[in-house]
Amino acid sequence: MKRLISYLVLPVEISAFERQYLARMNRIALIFFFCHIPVFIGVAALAGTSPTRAAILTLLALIGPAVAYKTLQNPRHLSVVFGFTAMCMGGILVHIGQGSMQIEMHFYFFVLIALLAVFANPLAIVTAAVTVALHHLTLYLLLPRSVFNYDASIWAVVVHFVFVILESVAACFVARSFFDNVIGLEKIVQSRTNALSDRNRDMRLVLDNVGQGFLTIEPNGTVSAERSAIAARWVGGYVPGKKIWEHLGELDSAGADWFRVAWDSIADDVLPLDMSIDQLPRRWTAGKTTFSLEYRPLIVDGRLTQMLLVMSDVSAQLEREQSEIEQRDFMRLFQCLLKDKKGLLEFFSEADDLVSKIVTPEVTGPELRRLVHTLKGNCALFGLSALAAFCHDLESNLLDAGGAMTGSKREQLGRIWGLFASNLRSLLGSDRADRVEVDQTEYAAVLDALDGNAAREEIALRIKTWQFETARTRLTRIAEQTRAIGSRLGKGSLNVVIEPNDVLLFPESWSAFWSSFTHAIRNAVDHGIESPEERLAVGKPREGQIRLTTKLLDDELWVEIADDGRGIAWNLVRERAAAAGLPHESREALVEALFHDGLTTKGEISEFSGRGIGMGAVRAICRKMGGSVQITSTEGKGTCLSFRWSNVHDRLDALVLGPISSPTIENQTQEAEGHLQ
Amino acid sequence: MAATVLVVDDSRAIRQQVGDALATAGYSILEAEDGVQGLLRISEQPDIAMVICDINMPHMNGLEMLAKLKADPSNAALPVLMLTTEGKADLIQQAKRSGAKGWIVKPFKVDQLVAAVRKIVGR
Repeated sequence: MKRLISYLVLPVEISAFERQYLARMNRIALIFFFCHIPVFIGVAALAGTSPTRAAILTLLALIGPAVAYKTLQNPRHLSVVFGFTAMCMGGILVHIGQGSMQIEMHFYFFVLIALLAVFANPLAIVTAAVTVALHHLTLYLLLPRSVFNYDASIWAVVVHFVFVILESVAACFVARSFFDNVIGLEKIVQSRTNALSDRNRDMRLVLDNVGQGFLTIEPNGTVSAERSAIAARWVGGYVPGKKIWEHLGELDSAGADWFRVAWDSIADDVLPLDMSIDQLPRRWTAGKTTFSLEYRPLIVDGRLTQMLLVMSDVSAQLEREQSEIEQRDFMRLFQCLLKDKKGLLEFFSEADDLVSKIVTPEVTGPELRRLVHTLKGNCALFGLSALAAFCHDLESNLLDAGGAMTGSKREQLGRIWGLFASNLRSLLGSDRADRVEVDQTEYAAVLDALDGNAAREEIALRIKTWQFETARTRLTRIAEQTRAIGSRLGKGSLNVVIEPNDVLLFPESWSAFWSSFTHAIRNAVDHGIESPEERLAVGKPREGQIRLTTKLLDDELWVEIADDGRGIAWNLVRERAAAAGLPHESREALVEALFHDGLTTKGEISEFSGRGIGMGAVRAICRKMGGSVQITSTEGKGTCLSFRWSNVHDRLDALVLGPISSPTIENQTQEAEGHLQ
Repeated sequence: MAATVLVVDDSRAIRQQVGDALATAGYSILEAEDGVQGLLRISEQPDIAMVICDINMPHMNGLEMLAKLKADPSNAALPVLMLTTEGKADLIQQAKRSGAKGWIVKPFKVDQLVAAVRKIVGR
């Protein structure tokens, strides 16, 4: 019984869908029942009964449902009222349809019971069944003509009743099934949707509270509405049709074009998807903030349906890494300072000059490339990895961008250099320019000379040289640089020999030359010296040799760098010169081509050399200082580069000194005679 | 028969790296150091299946080579993959307008390059 009741009585809860459905059905039912008025009038007219009575009875039967329609809140209750109304209509039809067709009018009861199944409510059908049963029994007893057009027995009423029961059982089954499988299914979906939205809410809570931003992007680049709160804060809210590069471009417009072409590569579907994804930007800056960008493709049936973009703010991490690099560079700077203070100062003054030229917007083209190249080489020599790496990138960019440099790169270089300069100043203190440093032996020698009888001019000259630099100091410094380059270029340890003479050079006048001389060193090491394996294979000692010499021949000062490497491949130079449209017929023309910017016989570009820039630069400075360059090379044996300045005795920036002379001793060395040149 | 891929780059290191990887994957390789040599190789070897070409090269750069290549109707269908450095959107757009099939940013993973060649050449 309990099960029967629970089958007939629906669960109390009414879903929004059911409410909406019943509201529509009830409205249709009310209209349907009102349409009975004219139909019943017509039937009464046809059957020869009273149309007026038909109209009055139908109207009376409609008062109840009309009032219920206006007042009842529960749509299921209204359906039950319509179950009652339906049977009233059946009764009225049988009543006004008296005559030969009266029995056939009973069909309408069965039609209406079947129709009541649309309410998906067994109670509406049960109500109808009870109503029609009571109606028939009552009228059979009180007014049999209203029900039967013949003298029916009580069994006729029982037969009608049985048919009503049978149909009602079937209609209840249909109504309940309709409720369970359609109306109730909606309930199940609704409850699952609610559970899902609860989970989504929880998920969203998690996503909104992690430090990463999440965005979903359509294959055409449009950003979907779904995004985590942080992502919305970083790139802005949802704008229909807005592309990811437009969102990111608002943070930093410089990379937007690049993002777009990189995204197009995905849409083009030429490259494997993972390769196209790898080519998308991994970093994005917005003012002082740097984001890392990660991409997770959502693939369905082998096709990209969406891309999840995960953004993380990595500014703090980068700052930490940068500060570690700076710390390391600073330590190297400190070591350089302890080892070779003069060398470092000179590098600084030269590099400072280079940077100030590079950041001038007027400097462009090959001149700019040359400056950047020189700065790069010098920074690498002093172990300033951050700056050297920056210059290397800059140089590559200049090659691709036709020799122009962007304002932001200039600014960046200025910033990096400024940091380095302030570090160096803090190491040096502020008085570096005001000091003259003298080593102990020189100090003692001059003191002895003052105690003795040395000529006053000679002592004055000696003191003057304190601001000069000996060739030995300079060549020793260059030798160290040469060894450093050798080990970095995988040439093993180099045998660097120095052969200085007694020449003294005024550092400020010679710094530009020495700075560009590093190009000659790099060329010798990188292009000249073979790898240890190659050397052993051709029967040379494993260690390559570089010989650095200064000497005086007559009145000519020679500065030479000679290597015992593979020598210049003149055939290759000829080929390259020809390809570059340079004269290449004679040996002189080929030597000239060697000094031409942009010509290199080197297959790859390294941090140190290989862009064919340096040789032109070093010759230009040598010539500017009144000198000339000679090159001798034998294939397989080595190359010697000789820089020569004639009339050295007339130069104010070079001195050749011997020991302090004594006026009583006559046998002075040749060098001492011509001490002031 | 193995498909032939032409690698045009002025860097010997890149040519070697790309060439070795593709040769291991079963392709036969031709190398050229610049655009002039590249066009020469293409005219000598009509059975080249695709070209991998650096943009920045001396004498004749990759874009000039591409334009000349595509201007010749007999080579217009030859797929060309350009090599470039990151951030050069305008160069890539120019290359695509000139008919480049696709582009790859240096440095790249060699196995991905091989996969790309396989996808384009189809064997």
